[in-house]
Amino acid sequence: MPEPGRPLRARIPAHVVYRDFPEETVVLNLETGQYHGLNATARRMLEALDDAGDVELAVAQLAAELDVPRSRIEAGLSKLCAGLAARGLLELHDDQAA
Amino acid sequence: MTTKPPEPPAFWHYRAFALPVRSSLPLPGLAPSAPETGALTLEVAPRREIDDLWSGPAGEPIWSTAIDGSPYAMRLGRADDYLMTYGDDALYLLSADLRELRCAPEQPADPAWRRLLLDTVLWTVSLLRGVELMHASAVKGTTGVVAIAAFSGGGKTSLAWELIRRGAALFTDDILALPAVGGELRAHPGPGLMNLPHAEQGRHLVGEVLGSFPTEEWVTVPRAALGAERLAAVCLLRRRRGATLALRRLNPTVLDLLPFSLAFPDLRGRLQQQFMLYSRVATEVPVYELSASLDAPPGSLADLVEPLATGPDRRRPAA
Repeated sequence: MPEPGRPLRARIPAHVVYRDFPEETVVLNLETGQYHGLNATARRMLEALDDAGDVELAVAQLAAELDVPRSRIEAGLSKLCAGLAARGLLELHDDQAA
Repeated sequence: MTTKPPEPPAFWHYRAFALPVRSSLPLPGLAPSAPETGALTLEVAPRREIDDLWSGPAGEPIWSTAIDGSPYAMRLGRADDYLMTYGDDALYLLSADLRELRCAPEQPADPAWRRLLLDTVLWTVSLLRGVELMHASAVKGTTGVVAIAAFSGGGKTSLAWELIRRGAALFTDDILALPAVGGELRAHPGPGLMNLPHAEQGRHLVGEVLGSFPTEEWVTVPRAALGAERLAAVCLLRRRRGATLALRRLNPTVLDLLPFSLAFPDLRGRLQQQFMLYSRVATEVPVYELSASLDAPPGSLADLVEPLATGPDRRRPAA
């Protein structure tokens, strides 16, 4: 993850598909053939990332709709992004990186 | 004046596992069908012809197992054709375009090669052509098709047969075809054939005994479903030592169903289709877990499953 405060683009790659079920969202990485489960909170965060295309914007979107301190949202989203990126389920790109 | 008997047709047309078949020999237990474009042409050929046509193995077998004590192997050829070998008893060569299947039995009168053709080779072709397959037996009742999914030896056939004895129609024994198309989710039947233990009750429901094997008989079941039907329920049959007999509705995800899907390693490109189809089943079809101990008789399981096939209001007349 880049340093805090730098714009960070987020994108769900084309090789990732997911489906929602009442108690869980199941994500499939078509490149690895691995399945992953997301709970409702993680699912909402993924949706916000996909909609906003940017981590900071996703944080702002979630902070506006959830009664949760922004710092907690940032910490949770940062952890989720790292986990998803490590599994090939999310692409993160630092626009200002050389 | 004598009447000349009618000539047999040059080809018989059938459908099984959502696969249209155009066969140069009559096949037992398959539903007759109108000729369809794109049908699999099936014919018996000399072994030498298959040896000449086979492009040679591209690598290790895709699938190796044993069926009735004989080794069975499926190989992809260097020209994308497939060769299935059943010990020394039979060869089956599928052309690269998946349109022609040549069978070379060592003993044409032996039922074993026909049984393998109709309960393994045909669904293999269906799977290769893009149809998704669930490891399940199924019966058709008034509500639609009820699938009983379990791994080999899990008791699918025994439970299906018990439901047939109670009035349901056979839909498929062991493999259920689910074409990945839009619209309503519909299941497609397998052949009207079953493998039943020698001492199984309800023999009056059996048509012809096509073959007798060490532990079972291969039989036709006349009252079998002929066409595609709505999938009304899926029961995941789980037998465990000491388990309490129970049927409970699940809140499933695709992950509950995928263990019962069939695939070959070279079909990795189908992962997305498989994921989408089984996601549809999980969200659109009631899915149940049927748990039972290893020694629970099929009748006790059928008591729980029967209402799924017949609707809750049906009252079975006393025997």
